[in-house]
Amino acid sequence: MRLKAIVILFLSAQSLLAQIAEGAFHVTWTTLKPTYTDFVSKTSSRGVRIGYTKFINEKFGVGIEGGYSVLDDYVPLQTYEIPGGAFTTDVYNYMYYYSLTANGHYYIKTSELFMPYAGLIMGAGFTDYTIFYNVYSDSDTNASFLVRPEIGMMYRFSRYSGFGLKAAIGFDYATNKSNQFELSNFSGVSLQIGIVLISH
Amino acid sequence: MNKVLAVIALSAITMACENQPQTADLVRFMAVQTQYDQSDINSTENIFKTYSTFIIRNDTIGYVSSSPNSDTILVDGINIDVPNGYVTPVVNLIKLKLSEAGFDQVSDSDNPDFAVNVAVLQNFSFFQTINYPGYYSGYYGYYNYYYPIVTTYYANYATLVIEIVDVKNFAANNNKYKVIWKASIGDLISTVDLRGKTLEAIEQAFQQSPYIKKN
Repeated sequence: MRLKAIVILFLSAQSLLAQIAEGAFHVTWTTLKPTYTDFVSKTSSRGVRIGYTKFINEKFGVGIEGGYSVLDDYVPLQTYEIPGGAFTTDVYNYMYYYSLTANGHYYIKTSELFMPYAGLIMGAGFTDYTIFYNVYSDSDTNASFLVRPEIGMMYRFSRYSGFGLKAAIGFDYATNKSNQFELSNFSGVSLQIGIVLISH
Repeated sequence: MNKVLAVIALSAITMACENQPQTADLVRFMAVQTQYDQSDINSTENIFKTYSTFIIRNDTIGYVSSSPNSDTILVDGINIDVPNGYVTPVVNLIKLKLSEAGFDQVSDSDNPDFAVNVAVLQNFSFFQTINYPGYYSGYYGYYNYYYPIVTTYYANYATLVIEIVDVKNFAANNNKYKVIWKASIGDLISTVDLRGKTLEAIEQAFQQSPYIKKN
C-alpha cells in the first residue's frame, strides 16, 4: 500500500513536470545599449538573434542561439597627436558583434499563456572593431567569452498554439578587449522582441 | 506560419546588415597625417630654425602609380583637368604657408636649405605610405620614390604627399637627403571637391605642424 502511494506520488510529480512542448524556435529583433561606451555609445537596433530551445520538462529548457548586432558611433573631426606627428580626421567607429551561445531557461510559470522565464546564456562572442576614416579603415577582431543573464517571457496565443511572441531583456558581458584600440571588455543591455514557433 | 516566420527573420537580418557608413559621409573631410624626424625636431632643437630658403617646383606635381607606363608628373591642363586648376593652387598654397613661416623661395642654383617635394601616390593606402625609407639620393624626391613596404594594395586610392627634404646638411647626413617632414593627404579620388578639399587639407597639415617656422 505504501509502495503504491509512493508510485502514485512519483507519477503525479512527473506529470506536473511534463514538458510544455517539444521545443521553440525564436527569431528576435535585438536592440543593444552599450554600458561600456569607449568605442561605441549609441543604442543600436540593428541586431538579430536566432535560436532554438528544447524543453526538458515543465520548468526547464536548454538551447542554442546565434546573434549579430552592429553598433556605431561618430567622432567629429579632430587632430590626434601621435609619436613624431599628428593625424587629423573624423572617424566612424563600428563594432560588429557576433555571438554563438548555449542557453538555459527556467520557466517560472507555464500554465498560463504568458510564460515568464529567467535564463543564463553563455558562449563565444566574436567582435570586429573597425574604424572608418575617409576611405580607409583599420580593424581588430577577437574571440571572447560571453555571458548574458536574461529575463523574459514567451506568449502563446493559445495553450496549444504553435506560434507565439517573445520579449527579453539581458545584460551582455564579453571579454573582448582590444589592445589595438585600447578597449576594455564590452558590456551592454539588450532588449529582444520577436516571434516563437513552438513545436508540440 | 513558416512563411510569416521567414519574412520576419529576413526583415530582422536585413536590418542588421546595414553595416557601413555611407561614402558621402566618409569623404566629407580628407585625412591628414603629418610626421617629422624626431632627431631633428624635439624638445631641445628644431632644425627649421636653421633654415632660411627652399626650392619647390612651380608648375608640376610628381605622380607615382603602380600602373605601368603612367606619367611621372602632373601638369594642369595636360594630364589633370580640374576647374581653376589643381597643381598650381596646391603649389601656391604650400609656397604661401612656407613664406608665412618665414622662409624664402630661391632657385636651384642658390643653395637652398631644404627642398619641397609634392607628389601624388596612387594605388596604395594612405596609412601604408609611412614605411618607405626616409633618405633620398636626390632631393627632388619624386624621381626617387621607393614603393612603401606594404602587404595590401588597394585600387583607386590616391594620396598627396608633401615632403620637406634637408639639403643643407647633405654632407653631414652621409651624402643623403633626409626627409625632415612629410604630410600625407587623402583620398584624392573619392572626394567630390578635389581642389577645395585638398587646399583645406594642406592648411590643416601646416596648422598641425607649428614647428615649421623660422623664428
